[in-house]
Amino acid sequence: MKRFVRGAKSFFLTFPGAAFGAVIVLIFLVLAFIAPLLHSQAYAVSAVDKLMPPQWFSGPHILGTDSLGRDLLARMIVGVRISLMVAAAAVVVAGAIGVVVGVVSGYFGRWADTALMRLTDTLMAIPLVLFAIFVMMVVGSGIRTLIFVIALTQWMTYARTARAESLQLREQEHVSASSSLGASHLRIMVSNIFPNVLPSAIALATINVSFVILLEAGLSYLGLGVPLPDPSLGSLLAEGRQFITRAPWLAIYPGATLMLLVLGVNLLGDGLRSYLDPRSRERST
Amino acid sequence: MGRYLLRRVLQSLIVIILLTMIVFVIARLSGNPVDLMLPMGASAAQRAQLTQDLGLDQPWPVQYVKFIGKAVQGDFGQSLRFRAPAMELVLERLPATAKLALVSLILAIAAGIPLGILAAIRYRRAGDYIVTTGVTLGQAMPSFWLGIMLILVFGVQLGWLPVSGDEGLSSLILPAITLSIVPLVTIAKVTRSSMIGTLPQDFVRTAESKGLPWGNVVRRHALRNALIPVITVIGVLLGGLLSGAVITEQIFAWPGIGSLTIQSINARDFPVVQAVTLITSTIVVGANLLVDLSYSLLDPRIRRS
Repeated sequence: MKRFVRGAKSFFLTFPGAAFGAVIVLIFLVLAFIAPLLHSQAYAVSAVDKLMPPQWFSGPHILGTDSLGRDLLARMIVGVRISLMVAAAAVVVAGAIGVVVGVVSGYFGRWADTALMRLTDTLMAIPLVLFAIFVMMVVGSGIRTLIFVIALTQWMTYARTARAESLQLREQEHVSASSSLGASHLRIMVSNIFPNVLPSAIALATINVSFVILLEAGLSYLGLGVPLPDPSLGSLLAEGRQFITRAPWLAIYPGATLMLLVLGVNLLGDGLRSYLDPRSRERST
Repeated sequence: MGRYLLRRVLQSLIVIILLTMIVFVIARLSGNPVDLMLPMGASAAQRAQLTQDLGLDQPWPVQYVKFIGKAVQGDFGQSLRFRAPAMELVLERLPATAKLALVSLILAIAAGIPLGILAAIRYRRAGDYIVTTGVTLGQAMPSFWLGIMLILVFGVQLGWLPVSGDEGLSSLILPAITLSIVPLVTIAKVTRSSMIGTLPQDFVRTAESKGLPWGNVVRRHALRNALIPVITVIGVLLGGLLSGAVITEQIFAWPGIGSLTIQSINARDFPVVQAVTLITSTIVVGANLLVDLSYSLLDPRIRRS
């Protein structure tokens, strides 16, 4: 514990940007955690309080209300929770698919490898949003589908990284040692290759998470993401666009929140990557 | 060079063939399109007739070959919503998207490369810090929020620029800025780090110590060598540009393939979505091929590796 505290202290002193990012991310995590307490304000429709401008601290609706009289701040906080959960789940699913596919194809090589490379080339050529739209037209919408669709558009990068690392790893002594001791392919992949591929997959996930948050917001903006009446930062912005002349606050605050969240995740992720990978520290300076 | 060219062209062809297979399989998984095409309460006989007419009773491989045969001739079926050939609809809307994407890309290059150079030659000084801070903020900026804020300021409050539709040059400004932010930030970042890697190299120092003007050294010697990663990243950005166009067009009601796609989803107009996906992906594959070939011309080392 003491070592961890000391390590964290030196990390944040070396990367002040990351400390700033960590504070932002922490605030958002707390907000996501308390979001269920605000459910009634976020969903309760009121005909009287429609499109009320921000009251700041002079009334109950700090950031005003939307076209159905729901409290904007409460909807934003619930939206942050939903956006974060979708992004986290999508990154985990994408990473898991990508690492498994990448390790298998890198380890066995030959035709499995060629097939994977061509498949990822192909999927990466389809413009992301169109790919997501195309798949969603087939499987329908909903939060679970959304997670699945985002993962389906993101696993390729993980697969390529895992494949490249596995290609190198399988030539190393510890692999031939295990193999000559009679370990099966599966065992070698699980206990020799996988643990060594994991760090770079995690590094990739730290970049990917903010991208996925933006992708989810974009899809929700198009009405293809989190289904209504559940709020998401993206669908809140779509409503803001609709009422831009009468109620600009509906667009200003959800968007600023989204930007702050992505900024925090990016700053923390950049710092973590530089800290974990000394090579990138040299490259970036 | 000939062999490299041939290999890259073949690879791209394989990718396009795979692409048609993936689109075909997903399309078939979506269920029987007959249900979408027939009016409510159609009889079983009508259903069977249409299924037969469309060839949907035949095995998948046969259907796939027919699908390819038609696709090669530009026939992606009839739009269910507009009752017109899907391909025609896409081609009709494509110029608007191409115009938007091209202007955004030019904006991004025209601003991104100079900013990257500025940051690199002012490395770890004020200019560099301003650019890198801008890049960090730009990477966090949701482009659709930027678009809405531009509408709020320049359309609603100042009333300077139109905020929807395509009514000449002035209506192109806001959507183009919105769409250019992601490529601009990426290009500036890549140019900066590539220039930082190039400036301390021997050939740059030689040029400098020959007494050449600093501007010449940067432009002729350093920049030329530093541009290769930038060209690569522009190729990579194309797919993202088309994705971004879907959202940007939705914000500004720009009449391109993005807004066509959104209208088509809402009408469950599958042939159109299929045509858009196939056509844009083919464009991306083709553009990447061109980018690869163009920098293999610039840099002989790439051909050999």
